[in-house]
Amino acid sequence: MRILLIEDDTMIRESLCAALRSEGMTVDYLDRGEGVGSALKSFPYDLMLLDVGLPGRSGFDVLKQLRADGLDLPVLILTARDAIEDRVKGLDLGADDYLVKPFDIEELLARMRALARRRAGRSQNMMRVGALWLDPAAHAAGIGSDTISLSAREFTLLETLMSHPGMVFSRMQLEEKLYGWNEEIGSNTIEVYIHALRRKLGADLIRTVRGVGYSLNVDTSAGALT
Amino acid sequence: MNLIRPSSMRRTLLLWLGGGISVGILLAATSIYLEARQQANELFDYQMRQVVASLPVRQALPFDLGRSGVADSQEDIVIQMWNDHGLRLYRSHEGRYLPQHAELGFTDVEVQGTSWRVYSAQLGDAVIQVAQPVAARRAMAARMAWKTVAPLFLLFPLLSIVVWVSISRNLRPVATVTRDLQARNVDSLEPIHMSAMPEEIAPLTEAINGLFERVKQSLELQHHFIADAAHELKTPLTALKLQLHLAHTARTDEDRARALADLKRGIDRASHLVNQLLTLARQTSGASPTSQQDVALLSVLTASIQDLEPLARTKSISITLDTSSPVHIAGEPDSLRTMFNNVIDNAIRYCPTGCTIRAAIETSPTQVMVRIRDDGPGVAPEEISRLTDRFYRVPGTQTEGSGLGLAIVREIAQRHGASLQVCNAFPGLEVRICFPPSITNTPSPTP
Repeated sequence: MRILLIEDDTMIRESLCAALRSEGMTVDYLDRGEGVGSALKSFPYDLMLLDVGLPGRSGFDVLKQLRADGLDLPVLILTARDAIEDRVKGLDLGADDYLVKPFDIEELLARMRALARRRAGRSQNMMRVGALWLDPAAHAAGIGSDTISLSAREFTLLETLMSHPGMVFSRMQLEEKLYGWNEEIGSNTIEVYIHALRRKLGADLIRTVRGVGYSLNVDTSAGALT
Repeated sequence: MNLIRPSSMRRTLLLWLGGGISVGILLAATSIYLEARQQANELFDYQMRQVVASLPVRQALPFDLGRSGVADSQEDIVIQMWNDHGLRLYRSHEGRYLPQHAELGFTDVEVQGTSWRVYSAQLGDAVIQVAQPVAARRAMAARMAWKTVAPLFLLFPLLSIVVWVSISRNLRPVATVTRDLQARNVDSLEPIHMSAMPEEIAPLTEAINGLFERVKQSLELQHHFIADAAHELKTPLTALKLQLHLAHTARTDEDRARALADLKRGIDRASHLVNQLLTLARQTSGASPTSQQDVALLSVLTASIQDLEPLARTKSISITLDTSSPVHIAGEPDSLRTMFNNVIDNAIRYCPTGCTIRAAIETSPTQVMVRIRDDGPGVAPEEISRLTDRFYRVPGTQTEGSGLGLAIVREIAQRHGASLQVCNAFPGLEVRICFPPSITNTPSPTP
């Protein structure tokens, strides 16, 4: 998942980034409300974590603006204010969920997963394509009863491909899911990870569409998924 | 335990009024009694004269007094008759002797230990004496006077009841207010209802209502403070939870070491905030009683600089003190030290490494000014006025801070009647605290 985090407190921001990244997520952050709109329009985020108590432009204003602009990604609000009026206001302005500080990181992750799977039209965390399965919560993937060990980026890549089985993702789209805007991307890194996935899960698992990109092979005549 | 019964308005009033009425009744009763007795005596004298006057004149002796019907009615009256030769012609009672008296009219005579009132009159050529024992007269007079006065004593209980009821009714507003106040708890500070209150109780009630208002405002300030503090504490706590999570889930020793270092920074930040909150709470007026002493400002400022030296050294910041004049003001040494600590700490925090902080004390006839100035980046003009707001931090500040430092300085300055000014000094920021002139702002003589 690629996440945009808006949080002005340095310590919270840094530790939240580290925690989310260790869960295999790609995280970009801002420390104020200005610039959120353009960031959202420039990169494909799966979810936004928004702190309400921002200096300058308040989190509520940011939320109102991005909904007015037609941006419909899931937004989870983080705030120290727990009064009912504030929660109602946040949800009515367009937030999808609301978490009060101080929160438990596990709860935050669970709610993020809930928002992501609803977004993908799933009702369960577990993603299955044939015998291939991926559990975002347990951070595990495998075929049938075998669990396959994957690196963080391999996991994210597989998750992205499985989110829309059969859909072709361009290399750039895959890069945008895997890397934040501050990170250096090697020129053939995606190929390296695709190669690693094929090695671990079967060569026919991923289909290369020349000049376009990659997709998860759902063709049942391919042996890897039976 | 207080063993002396507290004084009671009702009892005192009752005592005074009751005492006054009693004294009045007694005085009246006494004078009426004496007057009545006097009247009774005159009546008896008159009666004696009438006895004599009713006797048949120039009648031959002896005559039967019994037939004239006089002697029976006055059992104590003794009648004797003498002729002009001194011979006793008649005696009404055997065994009772009256001395022969030539004196006519009323006389008081003592015979064998008994006092008599004697009336002597000439009757033809005889002298008739009518006598009554004084003791008997007195007894009868007393009885008559008593009967006259007795009803007055009914006034005692009557008036006592009237006084008691009147006092009770008039003190009822006090009881009403008392019940009202007793029924209240800490949160009910609405004004006491004031309609139809007598003018003696009204000022007291108004004063209580005024106090309620002040207490209510003070409580509201404290509620706001607590709410603000609770809110502000959530941020450091959130960071701590996340930092602990990272330390807990770290997979390598290096990651764990870094996570624990971050956790320590988080705890330091939280501790600092809590300390600042407690300091601010203590300094907000009304929180604790002030105890003003004579303070040597120079030594407090010096101590404060020494407190902050180690921190300044970590950023290679030097602090200089440009004054040597010993000046004394009235104040609390601990609070003043806290105040200077916060000003200097602020300067250290927001100045880059290598800066200089200059502290000085300037005295003039109108004030004693403490000036602390740094040569750091200063503060944007539009932010300066907000620096002393609680929890206010200049947006975009990367430095850790609670936002309470200058709010604390302001509170302490206010408690000392000093004014606080923060302004850009180009370069840097200058904080000026001006104390009112004290009794001694000249060097105190060395002992």
